[in-house]
Amino acid sequence: MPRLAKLALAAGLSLLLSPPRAQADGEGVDPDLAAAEAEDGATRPPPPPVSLLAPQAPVGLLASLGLDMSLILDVALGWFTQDDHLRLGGHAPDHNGFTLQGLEWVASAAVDPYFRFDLSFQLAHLELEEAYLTTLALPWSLQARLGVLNAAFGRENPRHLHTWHLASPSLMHARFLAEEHFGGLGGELSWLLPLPWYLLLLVEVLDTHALTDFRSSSFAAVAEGEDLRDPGQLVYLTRLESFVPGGDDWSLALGASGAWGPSVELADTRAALYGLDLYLRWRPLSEGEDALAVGLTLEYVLRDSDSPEGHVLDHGGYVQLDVQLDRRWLVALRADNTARLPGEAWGTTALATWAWRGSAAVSFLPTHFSKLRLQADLGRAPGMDGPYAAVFLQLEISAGAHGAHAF
Amino acid sequence: MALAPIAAALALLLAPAAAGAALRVVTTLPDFAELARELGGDRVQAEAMVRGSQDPHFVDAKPSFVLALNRADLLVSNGLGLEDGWLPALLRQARNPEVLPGGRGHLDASRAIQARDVPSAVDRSMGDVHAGGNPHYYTSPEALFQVARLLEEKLLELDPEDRAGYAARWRTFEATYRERSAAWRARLAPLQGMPVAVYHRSWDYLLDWAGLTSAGALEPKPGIPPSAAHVTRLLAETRGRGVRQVWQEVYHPTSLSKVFAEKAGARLLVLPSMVGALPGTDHLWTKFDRLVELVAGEPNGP
Repeated sequence: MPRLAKLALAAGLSLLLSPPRAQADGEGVDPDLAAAEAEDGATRPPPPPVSLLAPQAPVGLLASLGLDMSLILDVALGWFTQDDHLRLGGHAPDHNGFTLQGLEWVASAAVDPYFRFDLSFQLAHLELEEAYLTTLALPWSLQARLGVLNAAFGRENPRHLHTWHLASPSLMHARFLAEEHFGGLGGELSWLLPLPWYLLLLVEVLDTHALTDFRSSSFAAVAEGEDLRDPGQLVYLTRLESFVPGGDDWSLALGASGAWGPSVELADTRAALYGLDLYLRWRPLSEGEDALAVGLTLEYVLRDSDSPEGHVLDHGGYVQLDVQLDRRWLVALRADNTARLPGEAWGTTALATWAWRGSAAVSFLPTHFSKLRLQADLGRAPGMDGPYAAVFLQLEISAGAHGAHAF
Repeated sequence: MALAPIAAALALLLAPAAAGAALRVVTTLPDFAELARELGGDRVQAEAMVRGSQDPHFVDAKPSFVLALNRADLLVSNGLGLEDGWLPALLRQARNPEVLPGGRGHLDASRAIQARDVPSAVDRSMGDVHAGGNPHYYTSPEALFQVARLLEEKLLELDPEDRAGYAARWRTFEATYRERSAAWRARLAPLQGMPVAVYHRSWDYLLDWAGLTSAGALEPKPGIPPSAAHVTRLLAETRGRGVRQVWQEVYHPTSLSKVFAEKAGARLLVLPSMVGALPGTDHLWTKFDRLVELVAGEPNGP
């Protein structure tokens, strides 16, 4: 963003966000200090997510349980240039006007020295996103999770809406994983291998009963009222992830995932998902809090399944560049694509579609707990007269004590 | 046999990283790692997750830190909520119950000090106020000395075999501290009572120790960006009070502080709040040497 435009926008927003006393004093502001304030741009960092439930805080019933709780609201105002556009469902704003993307109630607490409990309930759709126990003290660097989980497949799927740098999920995510999050009731065991570098091996099993909150775009759920007939109706997942530190400033995270289960496209057939992901981050630690930081994410998924039209291989992926201009400004660019592989049979269902989309978003974070985002999309899919464009204005607020996020 | 070199390579890979050291110590702040090295000598391998030039509120929860915590015998954290934005995520993944809060290998260094500015109630309209009090005690030599006492006890508890060695190193450390501390105080003595404006309230413990007074903060509330309106008001409030210095950490922006200092007739000092924050401050002693040198000025004060 041009520097002048950024300063003007910052000045406007800071005026809007200034406390009443500061506005009242505005006329008496020293002009040199006002210029210096603009020069500092983002000035101080937003406060970190702190727990407000320490002993000094007012103690109520929930606090006495040791629960950290927060409410996170995401609302988007969207406008599309034509009626015929990609509609991803789930958290994505996919129609003209306002979309309540999410109102998430998050709670977490240590149960005892051996377990921790995490809950994420989507109040906007009255849906349980996650509720699971995590072991804290298994031997041999093992860790288990049990409950309703977002599957540990790739980078995007396990991460909640409020951690995204764009207002909508990737096309790949909606098409191969789920509208919201691929996951359900199940268990997971992971092992941090005894090596000098970070290497994590993970296996997961998910129940496919619809009543167990199973969510997937690729795997079939067992119908309500039916029992599992054999273990082949479960979804099995594995992931290997590694991390390569490059001094203080560079970080590289690599992951490979696989998932196998009953195909959603054709009864009594199997489907498989294979995924690769990479996250490269550069953040110069010696440059202060307002230094430029850059992140590059690549994620790819290949799906192998059968459809009524025959065997289908389709795939998709995205590349995303995040540029943290300073503590308050973040620019994200993403190129998205999904398609069938050449030479494979066309299906007649959702498997047959291809799509591409480009997105650019600029986010302003007054503090760590609020976010304003402006995003523009350009996309296309079969059957459309031509590419469509879309613009979104997104607001996110987070109230309460919220846990720290993984890298 | 072809398998022999592979087995040897694997054995090398799987060997403990800290061969020879009895304890693997991971700390959040670099000052605590320096303390562990001073007190533990070659019995300790210490590693800090935060760099001195980094805002300790905002640290990436890198998986390499998960690995370090997984292998650690002892974690030394600052506490008082300073690391709430990133340390819990690492501990959750570390699979090491010893270093979890309450574990034998978890030392909350804030237990050694009397926290300042403990609020009676907290909400976010007050800014980034920590429920346990001001967490920036590591800027004070005296507070770090108290942390050293606590750390000494913990190291002895975890590694009792080298009791004599720890005692000898403690004597050396304490003597050095007493000597240096007296020299620092003597150097700062001419400034007694001097009012100092600060960017963030990171320096209150140091001001107390040095006998200086706080003239106010550029931030209107802790963690809330300074505004020109607030700083103008602060300028008016401090006029005539003899504010000669403005202190801030290396990681905060300086434009507003520079103008404030200029208009207040004061010097802006970018000080090393942690070990390694400035060149030549890679040790506890050199951190405070440099800090005192900057504050005291040359040769007769600022």
